[in-house]
Amino acid sequence: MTGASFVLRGLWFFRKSYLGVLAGSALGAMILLGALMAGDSVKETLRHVAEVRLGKVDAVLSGGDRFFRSALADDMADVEAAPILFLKATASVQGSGSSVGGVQVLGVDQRFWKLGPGDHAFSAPQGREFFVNDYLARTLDCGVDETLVLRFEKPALIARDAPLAGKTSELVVLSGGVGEICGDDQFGRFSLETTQLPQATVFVPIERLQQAIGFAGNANLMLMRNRNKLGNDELMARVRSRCTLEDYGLSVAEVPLAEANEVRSSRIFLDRQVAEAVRERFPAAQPVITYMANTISANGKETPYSMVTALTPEAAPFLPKDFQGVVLNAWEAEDLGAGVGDEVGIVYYALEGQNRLVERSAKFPVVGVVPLTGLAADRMWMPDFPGVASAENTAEWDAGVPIDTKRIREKDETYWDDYRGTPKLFLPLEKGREMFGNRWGEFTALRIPAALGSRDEVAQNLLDLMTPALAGLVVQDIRGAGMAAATASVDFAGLFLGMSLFLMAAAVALTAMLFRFHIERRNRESGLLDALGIPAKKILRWRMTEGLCLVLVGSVAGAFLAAGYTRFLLGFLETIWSQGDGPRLFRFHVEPVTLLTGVLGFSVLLMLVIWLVTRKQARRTVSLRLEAGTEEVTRPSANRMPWLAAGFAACGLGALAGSGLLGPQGAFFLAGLALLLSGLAAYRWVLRRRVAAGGGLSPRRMADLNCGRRETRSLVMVGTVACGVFLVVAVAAFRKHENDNWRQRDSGAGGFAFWVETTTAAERDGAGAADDRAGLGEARKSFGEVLPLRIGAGDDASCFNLNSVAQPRLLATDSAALARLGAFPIKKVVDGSEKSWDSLREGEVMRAFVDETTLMWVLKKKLGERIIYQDEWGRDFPVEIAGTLDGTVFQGSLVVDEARFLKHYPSAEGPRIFLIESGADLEPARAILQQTLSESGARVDTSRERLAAFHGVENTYISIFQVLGGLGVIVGSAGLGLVTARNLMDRRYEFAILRTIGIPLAVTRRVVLLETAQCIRWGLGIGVVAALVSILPSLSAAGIGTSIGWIILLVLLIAANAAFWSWFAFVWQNRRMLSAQQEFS
Amino acid sequence: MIEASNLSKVYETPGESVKVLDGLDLTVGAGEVVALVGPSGCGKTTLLNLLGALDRPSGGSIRIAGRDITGFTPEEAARFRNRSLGFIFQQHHLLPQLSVLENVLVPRLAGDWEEPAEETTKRARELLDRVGLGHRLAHLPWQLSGGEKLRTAVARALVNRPSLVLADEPTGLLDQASSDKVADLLLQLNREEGVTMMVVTHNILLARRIGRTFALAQGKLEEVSE
Repeated sequence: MTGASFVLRGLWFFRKSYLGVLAGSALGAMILLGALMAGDSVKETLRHVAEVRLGKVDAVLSGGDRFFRSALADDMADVEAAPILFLKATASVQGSGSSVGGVQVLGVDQRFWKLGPGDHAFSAPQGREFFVNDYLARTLDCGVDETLVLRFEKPALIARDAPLAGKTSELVVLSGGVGEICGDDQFGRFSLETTQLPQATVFVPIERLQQAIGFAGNANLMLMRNRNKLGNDELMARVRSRCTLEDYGLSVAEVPLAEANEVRSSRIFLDRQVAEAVRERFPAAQPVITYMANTISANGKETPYSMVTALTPEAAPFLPKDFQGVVLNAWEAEDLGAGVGDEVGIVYYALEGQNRLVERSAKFPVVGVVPLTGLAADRMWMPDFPGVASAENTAEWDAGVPIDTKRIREKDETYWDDYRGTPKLFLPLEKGREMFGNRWGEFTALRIPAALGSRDEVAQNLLDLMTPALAGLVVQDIRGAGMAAATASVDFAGLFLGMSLFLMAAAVALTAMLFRFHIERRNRESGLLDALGIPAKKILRWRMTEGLCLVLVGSVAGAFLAAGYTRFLLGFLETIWSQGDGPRLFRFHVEPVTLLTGVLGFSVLLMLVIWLVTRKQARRTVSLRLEAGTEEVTRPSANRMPWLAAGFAACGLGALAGSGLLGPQGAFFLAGLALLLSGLAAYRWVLRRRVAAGGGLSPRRMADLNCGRRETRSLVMVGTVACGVFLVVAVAAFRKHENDNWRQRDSGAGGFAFWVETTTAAERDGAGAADDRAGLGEARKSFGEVLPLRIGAGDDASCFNLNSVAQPRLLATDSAALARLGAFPIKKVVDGSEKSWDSLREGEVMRAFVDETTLMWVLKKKLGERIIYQDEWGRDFPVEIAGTLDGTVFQGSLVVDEARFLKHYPSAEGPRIFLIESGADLEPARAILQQTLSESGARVDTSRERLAAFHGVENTYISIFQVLGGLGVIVGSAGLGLVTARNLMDRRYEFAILRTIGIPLAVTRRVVLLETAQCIRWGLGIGVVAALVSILPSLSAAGIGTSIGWIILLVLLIAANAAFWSWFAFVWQNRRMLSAQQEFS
Repeated sequence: MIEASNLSKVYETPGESVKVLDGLDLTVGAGEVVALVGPSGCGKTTLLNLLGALDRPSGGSIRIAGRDITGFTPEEAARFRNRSLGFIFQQHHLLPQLSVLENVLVPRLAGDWEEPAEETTKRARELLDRVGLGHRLAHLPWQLSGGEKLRTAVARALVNRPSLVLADEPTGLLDQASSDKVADLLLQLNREEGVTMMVVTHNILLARRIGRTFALAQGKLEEVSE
């Protein structure tokens, strides 16, 4: 017989006894591997989603609200490219009442499908045909051949809230038959947003969409497949080499009368950066600002709606040198009856704040009058203002600002007919910059003397100096970013491991305990082997080998079970992110490395625990082991327990006090652990005191003695119950509840009843429609405060997004308004700042407030840290996290000050989110909002619903935690039952003696129940106290209040569960005890 | 064979120390069989454990077959027990998962035996034959009577050809007739194998049959004359 066969013989002989160890190993391995597999599955899911979302697209050229030639894609040579015209719309099925807002409409051609995932041949939609993705089809319940209606705002070359941007709003309605429903394999998932959630998408032939919005031949996105793996800079250089001035939105026009060539922007105002670059290249370039004056007045007379031009005398030789007043043309001088020395007033529209159009005025002395001839009569001074330049007559002007056509006189029409937008007044450039400059730019043209080159030469020079970035065209490594976000997603393996910690610990402890029981049972065998001269190390090695065999077999079995367990966990996650009856999001996946490391890791962990509990046995002397049998022999030692209890309690309280340093989670767990250990030390101390106290023998005294006799087992029982209670109570207390305080300004809803998100951006405040940015019109008076928010760069970083978001979405709003209202709970701010929204306007860099949950769990950053964003021109700029918010509707976004935001994104579209205050009756108010804002594709949610949705996700995590914790408690309690059963079995002769000497069974039963009750009581007490003290700093009074009933219920359930298992063990062993009694008798 | 001088053993407990053996001297010649008697708790098993290198004395020295065993490391003590000693316990301590033959062969599990495995197995069979269990080699312990278990334990104690066998109340659980048979067996094996034996017993009849008897009382050993 060899050692191996001895081990195998032992395994086989004690197979029944080892079943528990095997089951425990399998359970523990299942939990560990399940968590790891869940992590693998989520990663694989996100990777897969990123793959189908991006297809073969590596990079994207994006211009935001800027357009470029779709033919640019043809010029990209070896870089496979596809132009896209991207819009947002509201979609509905004709004849159906349902509609969906925020639908992405993609104008595409065949090249788009070539960049799709896989190698499927797929034809682009033709003619009036639309394709929709299956998410939209499911959402609208629409099928092939049904007619889909799209409503969207016609995009403009310049932001709608810019002055003189043209028509304020123009709705386009486009309908078409659904030709195909695209699944993930057919690029139906395409989206540039880093999220696992599908976006409702309609694919439209690009030419049709271009025609519909009046941007023939243009696109605003270009997808690129970077076959040659060019770097981002190289790709940008490639794009630059193919760009024309048209792509940059620039043009050069000859101005013969000025003997100059004029650089113009299709966006009217030349970007500051472009203007600076041109002036640097051509120092002699003369800036020109032509703007509309609402009124020019003098001597009690006025001229309505006239163009005025600000410039230097170098740009117009007819102007006096160093002129400080204004020069009128002869027509205007005559109209006003004004001459040199008179004072002229100019009334014009300007932007107040960031979006409110107000009338301002200025007065200047007249320093000259020029005849309406030559350069002074040149129509080219006026840029092609949308809605103005092409108007047949003045009454047709649609300049995007309020115009009172009644003021327009016959002579004004005649002037328009004869001279179009020829300026009637010239003023100094610097004055013009002050009056008409805005965030989109200052100059409407730069005139370069013809002496410096022909038009073509200037154009070439301009092309040479321009870069896509300068024109706001940015190349993004969309694949790199998408894959990085997918691979570095929330660590679900870690999350589930954390959640399963107690369950796993219970399984490991139970397994180790069962193994130890088994080893104790074989104490005499070990003693004998030792006596026969088998080295103790060898005996230990055999025991460990037996353990290893069991653990490995259990772990392998656990790996199979883990597959099912993972599906259970993924099912839980699916409840958060599932899209109705759509396909399941999560894909089961396991990496071989994970499987191997999981099995080995768990085996090593369990073997370590087994070694720890077994080596103690090996240290005992042979004689002791031969004599003691299964009896626990504790080493008598000086009682240090009171000190230990006090020390651990002090550590726990210290951890709570230092939660600022450790973080709330770290402090919670450390404090919890320390308080649990303190409780166990206190129990041990009390137990020893009771045992040593002596006194009359009673069932209670017997129970104390028995608990003290097997101290370790008693501690295991108390510890198991305490840990279970701690975990379940603590987690239950963290459960989020919606309460009714959302009306209060300091609540997470900020006192706003509704969160409204529109498909089309709001325009600026009209001069006559103050405080109605949401466009509520007559309904405005039904509501209180309305807070508009602009949506900026970045991705949703709320708990709905599983991807790792490096740049959360920026939400820009009027921080002064928030400060005035005192809305939303500001939890912390950076040192040196006031706890106020006003602090968003402080400091050198852009500051942001963010929900604490987002900061902690998604961004994993601290207060004061910075996140780098790219501005409109692709330049990096930092955003400092200056404060945290406590559970607000802003979860997943950085809230920044609008004015600062617009400095970096001057072309940003208007607000698309509105927080709206309302009265108590929400449903009628919601109906009004939905009706009023239907044209803009608004989705109206109550703030309470939004908060509840966030809480729903968090509560689902908590539910998983609780289910796993609950399973842990059950496993722990089952272990407790096993301990009881084992205890009773070991003491069967003791009970038989008691019975023999006439002690009634009822007394014996009472002794056993008192022992169990003592352990459960102490376990409950220690667990509840440790949990409540640990969570106290993290809870608001309302949180505790709403959770208290739930907590009491859970505690009672745990106690009942533990009592059940002990009772079960008693009943189970009772028959064996009786047979033992007969044997004894 | 056994030379113990000034042997003492003290058990320390909090606030109390119990002196079990107190300056005990003992000499047993090779091939002798001696009985050790005394009241319960007098330290008989303690003395046996010390002689068997299962425990360490608090003072004094023990030489077995000329070797001082008090300075042994645990590994040396294990090797010494495995090669030179045989133990017979009152509880027999047979391993339930092993057959009778395998139980006898258990000491070989220590490894590094010079004797080939076949030789040991042959000897185990012979020993079992001699103790009357030649027909029950494949039986498991639970299939044996108390006497058969003890005889298996006796065979196991001799399988390593020990120079000293220490038996702790081997007949404690047996009736008189069975005890007599065990006594016969031990004495027969002593004669045939020439092995030294020390038998702890309460059984006066057994002690008388053994011959030389020591009585342990108050930590001291005293030879009892007929």
